Amino acid sequence: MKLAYDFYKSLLLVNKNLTKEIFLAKAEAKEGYAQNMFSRMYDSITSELINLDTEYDKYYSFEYPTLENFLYRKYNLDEEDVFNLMEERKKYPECILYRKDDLAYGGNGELTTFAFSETMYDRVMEILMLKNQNNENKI
Amino acid sequence: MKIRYDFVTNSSSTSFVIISDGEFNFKDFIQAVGIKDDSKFLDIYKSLFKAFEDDMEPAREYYANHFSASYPTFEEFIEKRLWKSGKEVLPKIIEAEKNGKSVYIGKLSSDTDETECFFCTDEFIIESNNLYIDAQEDGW
Repeated sequence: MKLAYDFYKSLLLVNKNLTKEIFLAKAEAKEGYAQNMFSRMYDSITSELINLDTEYDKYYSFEYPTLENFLYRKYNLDEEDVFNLMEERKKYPECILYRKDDLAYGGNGELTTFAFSETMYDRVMEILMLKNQNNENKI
Repeated sequence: MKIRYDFVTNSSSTSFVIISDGEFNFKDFIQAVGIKDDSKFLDIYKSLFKAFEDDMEPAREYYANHFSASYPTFEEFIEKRLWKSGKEVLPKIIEAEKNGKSVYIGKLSSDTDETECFFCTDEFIIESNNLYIDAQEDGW
């Protein structure tokens, strides 16, 4: 799940076990341009991620009583978005909440924009959150 | 005095060169791209293949139809028009023509759909034994 909270700034759920190797294997980009493209896509998504869970615990838990309150007040997220985000976290407890600068990887952010475009969003998020793996584990 | 008060839109196109040993076909293309046949992302490369197919023209015809007035020779057109990779691609084109391979040129556009728009902004080479595609001419 990815939520924009400002221009080119987002909150993102990513499974803590995800690696570039897993990302490429799940995309089935085995070599050549496909591998190069998905490799750069992984880098663009994960570049300069900041762990928001840690940031909240370490610096903001004194000021905001809950993470939900922190997201609502500090990041101006809608109540509904906060609720949906928390529901998603319950469903995928292995995911870490990050915040990211969508332009951190350089260029004009084309790769990040494409990765989270309507065409790609569901498929990319499925890999980032390792959704199928969670389901397999539950079974 | 003119003041713009709304978003400024921009569009772009990226030239590509395709050198194909035989007919340019999807099977060879996907093999050269390096994506598995059953990948959930196969469709984006299908779109790329279609974008190439829709716009490519035989290289010498492309030059004669669109650029012969601007560049005195085909060679000069390749070297100068493809400002980033022309010098690197020209010998490959000449060699390919000598060996009876097909050479095509065309453009990817940012004005179509989001998939082609992305590929238009990316810089890439797709290469295998019987296919060479140079789309490094990213004019974004």
